[in-house]
Amino acid sequence: MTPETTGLDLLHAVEQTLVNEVGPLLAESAPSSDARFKVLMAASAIRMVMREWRLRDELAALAVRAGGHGDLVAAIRAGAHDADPALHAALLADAELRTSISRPGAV
Amino acid sequence: MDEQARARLADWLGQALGARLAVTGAVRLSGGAIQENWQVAALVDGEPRAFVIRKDAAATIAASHSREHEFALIRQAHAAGVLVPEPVAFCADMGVLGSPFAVLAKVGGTGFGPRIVKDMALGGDRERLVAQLGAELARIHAILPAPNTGIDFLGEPPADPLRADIAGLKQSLDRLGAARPALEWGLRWAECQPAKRRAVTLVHRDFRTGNYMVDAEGLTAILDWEFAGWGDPMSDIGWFCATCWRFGRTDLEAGGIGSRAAFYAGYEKAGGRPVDTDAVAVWEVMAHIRWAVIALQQGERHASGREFSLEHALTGRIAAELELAVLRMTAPTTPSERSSA
Repeated sequence: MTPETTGLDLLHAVEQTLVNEVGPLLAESAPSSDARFKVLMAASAIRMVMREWRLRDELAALAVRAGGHGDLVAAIRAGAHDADPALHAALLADAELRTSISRPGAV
Repeated sequence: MDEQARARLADWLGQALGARLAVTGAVRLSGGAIQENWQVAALVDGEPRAFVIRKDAAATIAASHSREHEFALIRQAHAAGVLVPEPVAFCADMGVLGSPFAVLAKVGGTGFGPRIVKDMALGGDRERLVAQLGAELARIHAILPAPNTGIDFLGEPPADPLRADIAGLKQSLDRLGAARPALEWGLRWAECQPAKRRAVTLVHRDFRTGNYMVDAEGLTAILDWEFAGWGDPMSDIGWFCATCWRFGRTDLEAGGIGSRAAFYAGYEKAGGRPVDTDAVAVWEVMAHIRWAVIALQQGERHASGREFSLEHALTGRIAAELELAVLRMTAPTTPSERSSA
């Protein structure tokens, strides 16, 4: 069977093309414009999408557990969860997962 | 800026300065999601001068003052001896450039935070630079609420700045329709900290690396006054030192630039109140929450369809790492930790 290019492979190829080919080209041809900055931003967004896709099962699991955020907000504001170690641990896990998508270096 | 706009600007600015004035160049400066900045070169009675024009960009975020208020704040700070670009004139006439704008003298140097943190050829000796910044902040905090100062639009000083900020941030989250339990956790934690009474002063509210200019020698100007208001002076110190504003140099606790000790010493030596480190710690948590709310507001500008911007979309995503930082700073203490404290 012919190996198939997955969506993730394609995204990776786009990201690599932007970083290794388009970016340097713009740095040379238009050094004072912010076009290169925008290309690097686009590449960064693509990497984020790839991480989000890979972690989709974990994200879905957290979304289920943290359901009813609106009620939770009201309860936190009312003081019902002050220094609650279980809620803190759950929020921490959620924030760590989302940060490992948006900025893995900060986890 | 087309030829007609330049001519209208030359007429208006010439009149404002009482001089013969010709605009010889106008370049749009990069940066500023909220404002449009232009560098304008002119001959004023034959002498070359450089100005910066600040006017509103297409959309502005909720807490931003109008350009006129910002100009009044810079004028007040200038009068108090704060190192700011000299305020030149303000134009409320929409007919000149399409929206109101402020004219300031151009200041040399660079303000880009990541570059200042990395490029050691900038800013002179770094411990001296943070001491200078501390001294400037003390001069800002010497401006006290008083009637008829030209900044009356700031309104009544809050009786309890911390709780006023907490209420304001909750309101911003509600307006965004954003359920962010991690930020709520942080706000509730801050609310439970003991209230401390301290004289309310002018606070800059965006005093951080990225909002001042430096050249090879040192500091050249404090910028970005649009968020200024009455508040707890410790809030500016917390904002400046917050980890999220160190641009990767987390070891340099004063803005990614220098030591906290040098910053605090510069502040106190220039007449600032004694630094209350407990209060600063609370304000550092608040800084992460506030930056997260601003990031969410920027993200919403894109997500709502009002303004297409990849940069805004990505800024919205910064909220996650800020929430993580808030949670790490506010972990509940275990009973054994409490008894040993």
